[in-house]
Amino acid sequence: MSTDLVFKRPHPTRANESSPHLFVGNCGPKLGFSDSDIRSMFLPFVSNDGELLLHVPQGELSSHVYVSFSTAAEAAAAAQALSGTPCEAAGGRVLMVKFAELEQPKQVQQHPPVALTAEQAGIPGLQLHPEFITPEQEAALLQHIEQQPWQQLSKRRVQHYGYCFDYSQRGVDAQQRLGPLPEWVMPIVQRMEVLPDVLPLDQLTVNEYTPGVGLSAHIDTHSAFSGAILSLSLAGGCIMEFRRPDESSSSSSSAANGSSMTPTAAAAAGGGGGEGSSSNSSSRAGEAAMQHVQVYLPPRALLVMGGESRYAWQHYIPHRKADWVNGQLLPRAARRVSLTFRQVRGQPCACAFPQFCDSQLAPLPPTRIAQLQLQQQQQQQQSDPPSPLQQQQQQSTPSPAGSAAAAAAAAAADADAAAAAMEALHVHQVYDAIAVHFSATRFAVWPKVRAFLEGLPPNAVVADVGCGNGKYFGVRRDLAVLGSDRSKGLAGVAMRRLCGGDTAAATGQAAIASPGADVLVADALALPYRPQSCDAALCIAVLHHMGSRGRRLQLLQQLAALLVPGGRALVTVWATEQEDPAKTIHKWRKLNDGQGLAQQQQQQQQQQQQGEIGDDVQQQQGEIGDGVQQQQQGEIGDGVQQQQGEIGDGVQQGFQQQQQQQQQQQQECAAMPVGPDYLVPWHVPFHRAGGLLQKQQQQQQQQQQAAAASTDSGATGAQQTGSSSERANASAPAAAVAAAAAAAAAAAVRVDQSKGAVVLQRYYHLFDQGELEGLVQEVPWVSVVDVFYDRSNWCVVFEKQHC
Amino acid sequence: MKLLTHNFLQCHIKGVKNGYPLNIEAVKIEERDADFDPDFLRSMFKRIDWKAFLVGAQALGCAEGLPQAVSEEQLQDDGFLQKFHHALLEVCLEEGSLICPETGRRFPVVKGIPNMLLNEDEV
Repeated sequence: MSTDLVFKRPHPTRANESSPHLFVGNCGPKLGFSDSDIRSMFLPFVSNDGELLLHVPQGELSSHVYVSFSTAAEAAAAAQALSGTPCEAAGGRVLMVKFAELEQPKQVQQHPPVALTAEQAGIPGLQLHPEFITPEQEAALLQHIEQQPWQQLSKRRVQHYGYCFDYSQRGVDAQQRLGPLPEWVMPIVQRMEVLPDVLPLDQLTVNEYTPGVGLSAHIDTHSAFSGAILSLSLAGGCIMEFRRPDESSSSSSSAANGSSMTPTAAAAAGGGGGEGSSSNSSSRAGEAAMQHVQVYLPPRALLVMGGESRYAWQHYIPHRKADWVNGQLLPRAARRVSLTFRQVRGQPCACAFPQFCDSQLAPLPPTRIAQLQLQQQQQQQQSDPPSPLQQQQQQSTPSPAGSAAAAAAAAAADADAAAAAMEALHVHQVYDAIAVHFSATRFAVWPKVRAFLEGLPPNAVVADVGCGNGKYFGVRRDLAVLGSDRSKGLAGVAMRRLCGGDTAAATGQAAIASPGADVLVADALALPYRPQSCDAALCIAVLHHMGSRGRRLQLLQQLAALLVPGGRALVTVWATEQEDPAKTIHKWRKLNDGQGLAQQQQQQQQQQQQGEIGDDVQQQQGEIGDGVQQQQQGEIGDGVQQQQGEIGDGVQQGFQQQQQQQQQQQQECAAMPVGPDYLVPWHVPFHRAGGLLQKQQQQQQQQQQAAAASTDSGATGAQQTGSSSERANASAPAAAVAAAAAAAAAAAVRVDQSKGAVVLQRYYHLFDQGELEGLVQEVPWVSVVDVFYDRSNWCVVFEKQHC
Repeated sequence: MKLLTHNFLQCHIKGVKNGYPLNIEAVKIEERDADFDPDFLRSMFKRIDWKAFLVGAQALGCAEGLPQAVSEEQLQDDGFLQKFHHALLEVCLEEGSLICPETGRRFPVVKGIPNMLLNEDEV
């Protein structure tokens, strides 16, 4: 049951002021509590004639609820009894119970006025032309569109003409022209092109919206399109909302120049669902400093967004099934087809709104695809395939025995140096170079990470290893999040979030960091935390940047070391099993098949030294490498694990057995799934590239010098890898590795004239199914709690055992 | 860098045995308001090393009113909690160094961010 009352979390300084209302954290439908579960916990505290109201703020998604007693005394008794200690009625969960405040009822759910004309909207540069086309033209357009193939996005279908819109780059590839706009739109296009602000149009995107589907808030990327952006509505109407952050809240009212619109609060934006309703209080606080204007777009109307309306205002369509338009509830039609016409830009944008302009180095607002992905992830959350947990036995890394092992260890050290050099070039340097651009595209809080954080006890200490821009710093206000990143650039971006001055925060898109959050620069392979000091660790999209199996294992060991016994870590990595290979791995540069760069080299060395065993391993590798089905891989893996179990059971100390174990380790190593290594490009448009171009030129010069100096050594460019160069000369296989890294280094910063972008290559080791948990199982004193696949990622939650 | 963070950091150079707590050399200190949450503070009190915290507070000039040992009563006292809150969360080292007590190795703090990267020979 839910009430019409609206509660809010208590202000920290007033948390001890009693009230009849309680905030109950770590409790709610999302965590498996039914309404009656919750009521039965609190009913014992209700006096004879009292009553208990339960309010679940976000329905199914709530992990906190509010309960309301008749008197403050009852609430206080309940709070004292239930807060902070494991609660039997809650299945042993620790509830966080605090006094809550009743929010003053909002001005009775009045629907703000909706503009029906551009004059009413009052946004400079906006034009609205009702009945721009006739019903006959509308029908004809729809018929043409219907004959063309659709591209399915997560919630709507689209067609692209002229240029293909790339949602991940939120722009178009200006070199990839599909052709002219189709004949059947040209008569309408010609009428559009004579309107003020409209330049010759060469790109058309057709969107089909079904009821409940909307469009996430965005400003069309400045650098991608020039002139006005036009939207023609067919078949159905909808409200489009516009919002603009107030630069100084005092000037906001005058900016609306005489319109009847007043800035409305986030409630209007959220409607009944979609992105608005899932936003937290901090983003609401951000949105409060927004001007909002709603405009109704009837079918056949043409909306023209030029000037300020195009460059400075975000527009979006609320995800809902009906719109209130000045006292009338208008259900959305079965479909609304919108035609968006634009001109692809040939040069940097020089608009008068630098704060929103990526050409003028403003951080970009979030991509639509990021928001769509967020919604889809929320939907998929329930339907993840459970992965069976196998083999829980502890293993430690093999102890070298004999000279062969010593030699292998030496080779491993060389390989490690090569992997380190690779990471330096293709991970550290790249992220430093792209930090701001990267951060602007990484704002969405991943639901799986949010769920992990919400499951932690109150006031937990969390190490966020590879925290990037710090987007998880504010998910829960009571967590002390100690963020670290290898990239100084990204750590700097995260620090700006801590200081609350980030543009993203100002526009309400980023959660403000919690008071206990902080950031430092550290390498995930050598973390500076006290051992056993943190309740939890996050390691999101970091482990796949480590260039060898040994280094990946080392990172996991670092995470295990900082956890308190019972503490948990969430680790996510990119999967070999990408959901859309055509857009991902088919476009990336593959470095090898299934054996890490360094790994491959290490095994070669071992094979040389161990003859027959090596051949065995080789054979198995071959079998797996040749595209064998996942299932078969599993079988091989299981077999080896079983065998090892049998041997392990009766093992005594002894050289022979040690050797046997070592062989097992190697066989297992070969039989364990190992994903391939890739270089994944990141495009930075010229006008945003800044010092990158210079750097690329320097690099080119260095390369030429290096090539000249090392033509006779055969290890072309080995000097590029810096620290590993000496070792590379000392050992032939390692030199090969170093050369590979150096060759790849040539592509670390590249200029793609055709795309008008500087291209940086990031190194990724993709994880095969089973690989991540296999690696975790090798870490002493941890056990795997959960394994899942989500949106092209493999994810593992593991727990530190009590030693 | 907040003193809360400082409390969780140690020198991680290979072979260092007494790398905790890191000494602080402050060049520039800034104060930033943070929400006051007594529950959070009491939880953190249990988690941190109080002696190390006092070392840090002295270096950042916010140790006044912080006792050598904290009693149960003080943890319920708003006056104490406010001081603890201020030193733990609101006083930030903006520029300076963290110094390993064993080796003297300095980890620079620039724009509020400690750089804990190690050199190759330290790993």
